[in-house]
Amino acid sequence: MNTENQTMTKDGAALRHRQPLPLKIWHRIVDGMGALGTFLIAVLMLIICSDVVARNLLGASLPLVSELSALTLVMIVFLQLGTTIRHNRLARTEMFPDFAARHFPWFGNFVAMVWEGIGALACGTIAYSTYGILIKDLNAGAFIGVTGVLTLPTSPFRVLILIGAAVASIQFAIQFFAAARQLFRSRGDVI
Amino acid sequence: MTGIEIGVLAIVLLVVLIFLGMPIGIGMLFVSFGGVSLIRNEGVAMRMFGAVANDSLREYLFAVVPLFVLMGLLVTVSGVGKDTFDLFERLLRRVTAGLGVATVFANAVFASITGISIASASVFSRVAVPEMVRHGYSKQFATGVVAGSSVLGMLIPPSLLMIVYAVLAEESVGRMFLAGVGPGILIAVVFSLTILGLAYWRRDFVFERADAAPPAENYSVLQIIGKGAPIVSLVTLVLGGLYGGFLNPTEAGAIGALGALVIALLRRSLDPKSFWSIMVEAGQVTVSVLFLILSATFFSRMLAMSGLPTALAEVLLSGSFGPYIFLVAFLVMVILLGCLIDSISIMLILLPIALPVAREAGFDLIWFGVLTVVAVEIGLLTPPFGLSVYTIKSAMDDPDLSVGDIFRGAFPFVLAMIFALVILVGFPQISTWLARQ
Repeated sequence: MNTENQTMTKDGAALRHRQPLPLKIWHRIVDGMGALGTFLIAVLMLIICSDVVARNLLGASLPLVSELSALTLVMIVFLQLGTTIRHNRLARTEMFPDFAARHFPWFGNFVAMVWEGIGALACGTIAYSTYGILIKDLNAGAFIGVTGVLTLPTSPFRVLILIGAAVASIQFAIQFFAAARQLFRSRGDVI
Repeated sequence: MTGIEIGVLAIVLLVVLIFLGMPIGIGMLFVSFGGVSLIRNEGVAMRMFGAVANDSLREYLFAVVPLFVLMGLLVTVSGVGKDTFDLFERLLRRVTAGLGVATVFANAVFASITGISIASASVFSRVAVPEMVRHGYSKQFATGVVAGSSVLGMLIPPSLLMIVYAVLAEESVGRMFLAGVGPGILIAVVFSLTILGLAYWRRDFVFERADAAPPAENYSVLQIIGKGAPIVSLVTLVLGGLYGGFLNPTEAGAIGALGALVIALLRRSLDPKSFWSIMVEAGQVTVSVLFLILSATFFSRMLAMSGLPTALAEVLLSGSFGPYIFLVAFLVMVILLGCLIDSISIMLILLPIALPVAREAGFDLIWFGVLTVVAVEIGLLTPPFGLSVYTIKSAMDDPDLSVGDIFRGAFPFVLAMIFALVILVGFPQISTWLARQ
């Protein structure tokens, strides 16, 4: 498993040299969003720790901690979804792909390409359906929290989910086209 | 097509897609969307999809995932695992195959500050295996012990699998954590007996050559405190806070992660670069797990809509089958699926179908959860998808050691776990007495 990862990164590095500028910028954006999500894990830890301290030492819970933590978590996931896809870290089984890569590589690559395509569709659907929810929330002025104490509108979080899902979808699409190109080229080699 | 047929078709299709290497979360979203579209229509499917994506993860409880993962990764680099092993090695140096037993108990203690088996497997393959090999143990046995005892990480709280089960079964995470303690101790004891038995009857399996290495050094009281204090304080902080009622699971995760960070910083085992890569790793594990939970929410709603779980409950519990046949069939299926796919995915696929049946059968869902987790963990040790075994292989980085060797070394522990599973089925109190108090 380890060696495969290494060859994969090697391939990735080789590709990166030939990457056109827009793709380079795109990868910066995807990884940058991921870094922001990573940073939010530390924020999440601090939010919850300060709540514990406040409750046990000052005798009062901080307001909105549970809602805020929940939303932070959602942001962590959607901010990092693109970079997780880019680094092939979504959970999947390797058994058949490994076998296919050795015995009938063309078919293996073809199947892999199909999965990238379906991934793009699935994340695209999340983005599309979130857009509907966002519009509804904006019209209704939806918020979380307690009126008069502290409230936060939900729309910025919806926008973030929308962006995260859209970025994930585009990342899948990029991988789909890369796989398709490779497939076409490897077949050309055979012929 | 009736809803039930659609439900069955969706499950079969999902298993095929997963086997063909489709990302598991995407696979669940795909078949669920298709299933709901067939049962109702695309409009409903689209609305459900949006609702799941937006709201299924907005739970305070889920914040526990990144926090415990972060904590596990931090204690992995800070050398706490090695210290725990050193202490047990010293304690058990006069016992036959004492290093094997020390590995099991060090794992059990280490498990109570980490929620992922993979963390235990990677720490102890670097710490315990070289030490055992130095003392004449065979590599096969040494790695087998590490693989076997790493499953304790998922059983003894905090545990990622228990969290996932609690979410699916709508049980309290705190209670599920408590439920893991008794079975964890049971399995540690069964493993130790297995090691002693092997050392007695199958000496050649355990030892390659006579122990020529000098015995472990003696530690002064101060050294023992230095080695023991970090893990004892972390365990006290996390488990004490949890069971004392000062902290809920999410808070225990946050405090534990902060504590682990402080220990790692005090021991100077972190530089900015390694800290950042740990954070990135924690993030990617989190996304991978939570994306699975998100898609499993959709999948289980689709299944509920299809009516399959209710129909299955009626068939399985009426007449010739009976609840215990169902239980055995379920556990066998979990173990078999464990040979194909990873732990969390098995639970996410099977539990939406099995939980309604178990509820209908009147099973204690905490007990059922413990059985599920133990059965799922057996899959970590069986080929071809024994995740613990692959982790050890990549952590060891030893060309002489094949994956097959580790699987063979772990096999006695697979048998031991099946034995423990039978005991747990027979004596539900082991799982429930702490949790139901």
